[in-house]
Amino acid sequence: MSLAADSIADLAEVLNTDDFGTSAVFKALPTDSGATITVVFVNEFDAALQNVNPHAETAKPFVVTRSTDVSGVKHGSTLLINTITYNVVGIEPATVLTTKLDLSRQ
Amino acid sequence: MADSRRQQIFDALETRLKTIQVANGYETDLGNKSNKWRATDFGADELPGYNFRDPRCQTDQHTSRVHEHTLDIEVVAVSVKPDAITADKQGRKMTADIIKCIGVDRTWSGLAFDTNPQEDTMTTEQQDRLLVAVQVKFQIKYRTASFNPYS
Repeated sequence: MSLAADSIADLAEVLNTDDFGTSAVFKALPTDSGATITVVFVNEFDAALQNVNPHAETAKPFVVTRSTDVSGVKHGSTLLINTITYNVVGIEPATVLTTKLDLSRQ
Repeated sequence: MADSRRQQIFDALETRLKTIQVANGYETDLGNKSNKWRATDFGADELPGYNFRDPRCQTDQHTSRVHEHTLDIEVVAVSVKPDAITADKQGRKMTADIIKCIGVDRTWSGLAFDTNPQEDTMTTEQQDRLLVAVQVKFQIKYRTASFNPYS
């Protein structure tokens, strides 16, 4: 098996919903019908507004997914995860195979 | 012993800022979530809210018997973007409300002889929600007898 094939297989395991994966409905454009994909969803704590005191407790959600599953993604694309619709506010190619998408509910 | 004049001014400021409510003719309900010298971050359920501090006071010998004090006040207000308006507009509403509130009585019922605005700043940050924060600084000028903060 080639290194590329190994990587694809490893990614498939990570994204498996029995492991770290979560189902999400991706819409590149609001008019799209939406495609169900799997993502690794992280909703980690963050202290926002570091330039004022006190700061504000918040979350900084993001997903990592297959780049091929989110081709056409742009700022304003949406992901429906666990009944919450998130807007894509940041797009970061993470590896050759994966893309990290920063999310916001507003 | 009565509180120092600075404490009395700070208490008056707290009372005044709490009046920032739509029911009192303001654009926001900031006054419902008042904090002073808060040392912890705002929780998500505490917004919109504000924190105010009196971090510095400059004192000059006005005359041989009088100290003249310039008390720096900082008010930081934070809000999640409301559904109906943009975050920056919410920030300007909060700033305007704070400035309007301060100007209601610049002498704080005679405790000070003047209050003057300084700078204000605004910032936004996109997280799980879109947040907006404003900081409004102003100075309260008051006098006491020399070396007698309680006068």
